[in-house]
Amino acid sequence: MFQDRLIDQLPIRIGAGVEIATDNNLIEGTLSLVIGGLIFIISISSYGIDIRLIIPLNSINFIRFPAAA
Amino acid sequence: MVNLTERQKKLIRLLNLLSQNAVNNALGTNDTNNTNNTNDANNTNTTNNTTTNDANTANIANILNPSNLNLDSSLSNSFSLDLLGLLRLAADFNLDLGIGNGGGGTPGNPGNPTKMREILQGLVNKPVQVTTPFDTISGTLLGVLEDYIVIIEETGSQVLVALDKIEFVGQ
Repeated sequence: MFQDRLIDQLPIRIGAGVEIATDNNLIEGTLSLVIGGLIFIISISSYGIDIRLIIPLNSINFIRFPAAA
Repeated sequence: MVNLTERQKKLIRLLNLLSQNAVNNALGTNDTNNTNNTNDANNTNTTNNTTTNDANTANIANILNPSNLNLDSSLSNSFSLDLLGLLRLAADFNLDLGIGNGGGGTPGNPGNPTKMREILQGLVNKPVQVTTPFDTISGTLLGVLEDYIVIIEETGSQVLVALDKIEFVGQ
């Protein structure tokens, strides 16, 4: 059901909405790409513009996949 | 610094005395004492054959008695015990000194988990609270993988928590 390593588990969930927590921030968006220890998130800014955020895997505290409403 | 038990200290003390005696014999400084002790023991043996073992025991006791070890003061002051050699000796004779565990930390107990992963594996399918620097995640622990754990929160959200970011775990 789950891959042994987080870096291998995340590609299975590409396209899902995620909340990614680092030590000091919570980033919400859509998981778009996982490559080379980096996670690409498309986040919608308060101005309605898509922002691509790149988060190194080793800075992540946890990744939450919210239950579908 | 290795913390030794009382038994290990006694063993080291015994080996220390034996070593001192060996040095003494090698230097010939205590020959008269030992000879006297041996003669005394032999005299005892002539009176009763059954006391041979007792005499030998007494002889060993005399040898081990610090008052009989009339070492040269400079020699006794400069004497040191080769602990590494002692450990090698113990290994050669398959002696258990009870030092183990690499000389550090608390004594190992194979029944107790020592790593966060092992502790978490015992909590699978149980409610847990996992705290990371950002926040605490509460829910049911679904699985423990190589570098992350999976928690299902009460809302149904699935959370993947990096193992090396876990600060502490509550049950």
